[in-house]
Amino acid sequence: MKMKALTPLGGLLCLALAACGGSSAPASSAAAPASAAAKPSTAAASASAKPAASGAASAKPAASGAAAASGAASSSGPIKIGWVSSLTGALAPAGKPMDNGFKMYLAEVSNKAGGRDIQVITEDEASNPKDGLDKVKKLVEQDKVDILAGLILTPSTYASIDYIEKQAPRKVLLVGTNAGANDMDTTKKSDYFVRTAFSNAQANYPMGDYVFNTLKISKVYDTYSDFAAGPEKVETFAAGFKKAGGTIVGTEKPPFPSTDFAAFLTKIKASDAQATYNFEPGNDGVQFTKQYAQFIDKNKIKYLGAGDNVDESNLPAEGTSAVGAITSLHYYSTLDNPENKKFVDSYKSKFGGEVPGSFAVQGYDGARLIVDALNKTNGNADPKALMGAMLGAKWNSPRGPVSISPEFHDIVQNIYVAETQNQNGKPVNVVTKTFEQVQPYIAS
Amino acid sequence: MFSFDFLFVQVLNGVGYGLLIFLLAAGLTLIFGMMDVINLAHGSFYMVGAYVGFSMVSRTHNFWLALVVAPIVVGAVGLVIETGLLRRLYRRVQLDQVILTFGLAYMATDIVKWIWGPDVRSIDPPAGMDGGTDVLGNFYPTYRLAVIGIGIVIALLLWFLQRRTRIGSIIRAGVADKEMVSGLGINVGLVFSGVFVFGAALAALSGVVAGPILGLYQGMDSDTLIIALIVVVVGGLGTLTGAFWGGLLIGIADTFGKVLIPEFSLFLTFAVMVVVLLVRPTGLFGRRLA
Amino acid sequence: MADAVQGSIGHLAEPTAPEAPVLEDIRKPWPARIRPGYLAILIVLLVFPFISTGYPLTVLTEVLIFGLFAMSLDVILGYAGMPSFGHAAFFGLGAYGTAVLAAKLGQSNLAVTLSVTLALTAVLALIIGALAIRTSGVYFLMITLAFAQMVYAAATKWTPLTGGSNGLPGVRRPTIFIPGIETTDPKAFYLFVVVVFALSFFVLHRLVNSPFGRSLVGIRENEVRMRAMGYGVQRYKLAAFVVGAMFGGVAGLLWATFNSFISPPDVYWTQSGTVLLMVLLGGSGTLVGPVLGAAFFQVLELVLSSKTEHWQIVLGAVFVIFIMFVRRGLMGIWAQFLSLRRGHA
Repeated sequence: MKMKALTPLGGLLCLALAACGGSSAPASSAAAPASAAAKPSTAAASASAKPAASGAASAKPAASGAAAASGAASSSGPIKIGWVSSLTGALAPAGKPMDNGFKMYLAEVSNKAGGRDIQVITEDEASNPKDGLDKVKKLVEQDKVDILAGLILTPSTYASIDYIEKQAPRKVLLVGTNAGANDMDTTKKSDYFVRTAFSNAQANYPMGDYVFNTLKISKVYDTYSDFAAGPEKVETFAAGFKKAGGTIVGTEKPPFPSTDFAAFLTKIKASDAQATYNFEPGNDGVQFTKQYAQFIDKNKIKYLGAGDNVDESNLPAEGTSAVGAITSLHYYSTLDNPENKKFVDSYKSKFGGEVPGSFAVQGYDGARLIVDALNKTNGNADPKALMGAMLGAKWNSPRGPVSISPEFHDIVQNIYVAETQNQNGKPVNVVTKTFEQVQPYIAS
Repeated sequence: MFSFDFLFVQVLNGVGYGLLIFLLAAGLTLIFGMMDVINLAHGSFYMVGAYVGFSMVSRTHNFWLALVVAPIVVGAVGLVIETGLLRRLYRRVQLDQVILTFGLAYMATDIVKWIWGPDVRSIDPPAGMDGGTDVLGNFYPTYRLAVIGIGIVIALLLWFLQRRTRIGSIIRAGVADKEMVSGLGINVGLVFSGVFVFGAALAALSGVVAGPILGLYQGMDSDTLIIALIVVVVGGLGTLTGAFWGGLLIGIADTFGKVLIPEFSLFLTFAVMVVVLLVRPTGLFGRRLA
Repeated sequence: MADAVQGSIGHLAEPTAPEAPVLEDIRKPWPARIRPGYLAILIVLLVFPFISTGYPLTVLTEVLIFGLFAMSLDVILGYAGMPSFGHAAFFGLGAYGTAVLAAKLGQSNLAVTLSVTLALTAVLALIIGALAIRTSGVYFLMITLAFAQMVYAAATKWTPLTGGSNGLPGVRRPTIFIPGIETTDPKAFYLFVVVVFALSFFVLHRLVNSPFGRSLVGIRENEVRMRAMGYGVQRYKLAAFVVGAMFGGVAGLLWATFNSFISPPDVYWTQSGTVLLMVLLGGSGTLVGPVLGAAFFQVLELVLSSKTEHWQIVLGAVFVIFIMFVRRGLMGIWAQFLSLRRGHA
């Protein structure tokens, strides 16, 4: 019998099996050493309806009944959190700080919550929605995590929510710590998704009124890359601005990725705009800011935009070219409150003097929300119980007082306006205005 | 809006960008042309050159020094790669070399991230070129004018090397007919190494020159590779003249595309490439092999 | 130069005597009947979900989808000798076509989505092919890249239809009219993928071993001679291009329904590069090789990226070491293994 072709394809199967078997040893990140918990709590363990060791205050019999069949959240042993961030690829400048912030908070509570230890399994989204979804599936199906958190990309988040709702063998709660798509508050809202980041409208809509009425600017030239959050952020600003009475004199949408904005800047310069409102992701934002300073006098055409452009991950590369920018965001490292002072000092000492930006605080707050919720449910990691504990949660974040809106499953927070100033040759974002407790969804 | 001043500045933009991408592509076309090697690590050489330049400029604040050192460093790396790895694959199919250079590029991306971190970085232009200059009544960034100057100088240098020196004629002959050159008793192996090292050094040089304008970021290697491939193909494999005019063509088309049809500017560069290839299937100045 | 590229693609046999005959053996037109070995594999694949579900099943499903994608490129690259760097365009077209139907229009009937996928990819392949096949070698590589990038641009910019850069979630699984089988169940979907994969493999296997397939190989090896012999070379190449495109589209359909989601990065040139790499790693011109290459690459990437943040260095090093010591892909290793066995027989 000709066995020639059998082995190669058989090898295929062996590879697949071996790999899956091999990868069951999770790549736990350094920040969450699984301390005492020797006994891994798997689906099998939770099938026995024994009350959780820490006290059976969590009376959710229905959940554990159904749980037994589908292998739901564990009820004893360490709580496994599946954490996905972009550690490689174009979005690593955002993903790394988010990762750092998340792990830092957990270390502050000694990796314990609700009377149980926390074990984090970290996966790399690789700045790519395919990888993001793959890792989410692995975490749910292979590592059987109790909670999911993270994800930088919007498509990854959409796909993951869909997956959890429709295909996943068991339901797991996802805490989104970055993707800010507006419809996640409305049409894409889910019982298994809660967000601690921001919504794109949140920081940009209020700017519309501010720019017109406070800064007294009536003509703005919009620019943004027609990619990711660009349209949502800038168009929401435009909506607010027009409502207040302003005029958008032009809109440019540089392709993404772009490194050279000369053509667009020349157009803006030739127009009668009094200011530009801009958002560009990542490196595009840095180059836009730098080239803006080279082509245009900010006293003639002001540089306005989303605070992401002058986030801490971008400022070092931008240098003094960012000076004069007026932006809005939910966090600036210069915020003057005790939580933030502690946060910034702690982050700097842990991560080689690096100043934390919005991504770090989003990760930090994501961890906090999870820990607080677990404390409230006494270690019950059932998604419905957790969601119940998370909605309406309030705490003092480095961003100021925040809460999770029960209506939108999203974060209610202060929005700040900052002007980037030159302090000793370095660009520093100085907060000039606070919008208190802005809702994530603003009906316009 | 389309005043003379506006158009003039846009032309400057286009020419500057075009010369920049000529620099990016020059090394690639040489390596292609001489050695038949599709060097997917070209973007990596560019990237490493830029990061080395960044480190040097941060430390010494001397842009011109970085412009000299970075190509040397990357050239040395190129030498190691060529003699140690690539050389053994010459007798193999070309796509094997693709896998090698691809694997190296993958490694380079992570090594750079490991050493310099994932954040966006910037190279400051040389002292004195930071501001703007008045050009026919228009305020234009000085450094971009410098880039135009540097681009032209290097183009002339390369042209001179190619046309007026012995090594240049050896390379031109090698591009046309490798076996013949070898038959003439010339150590083709040595020439190969030299070309590869030179190509890598040129890529590194362009990294330092482009740094202040295009920036240093995760993903710059693949972005650059694609642009370089486009310029090389449009211009014609193995011809520096092709890279020069191809670069200018793409640079101006890209800039004016952004001015006139920004929604479709993403398309435009590729559309230009397709049109050129349909009209002249081996590129503007490419040789048709009999 | 262009011809050098053209002639050297798929040129797995080299003038080193001991190895050449064995590889020729494998690459000789196989008997038209399906070898029993393949049937055994099929049975294993069919039985697999009853042994193991959960994550291994997920991984295997993905491997089969990318295996189909790689096979489809092999027809174009390995058999017809055309180095396409734009294969993601057809993958993307199949995926997006299906997604628009199943997510936006609520149409998840397999007959409909499949027909639309095949039709769209065939049309696009005819257009691109007719233009691109005028060139060869590296120029063909770049033209196919260019067209694929245009498809990418459409996917990213045509937001009302494609969801723009956020992509299209909510792609419903296909309804296949076998009562009692809902493809929303992972086991059922997996079996569906196995069936599609097996059928595709069967069709392609017959195709590349038919006179048509052998003509393609002839064209790849020496186009001038084939033309002199009277073959309509351009037509053959175009046909191969279209066939490869259509099966690539099917792989895209499977991908979109597997994830219930599609987004532009799946149409980006890096996807074309990945599938090209899979074909080369596995051994082009063998049909089976690319499937192995797909498995190898996918699994390796998944495993490595879970273990370390620096997985790219490891993966890159694996490629480098692989190519330095392995000449003709995984199938080449297989051929060497066979020749050793034969030597000892």
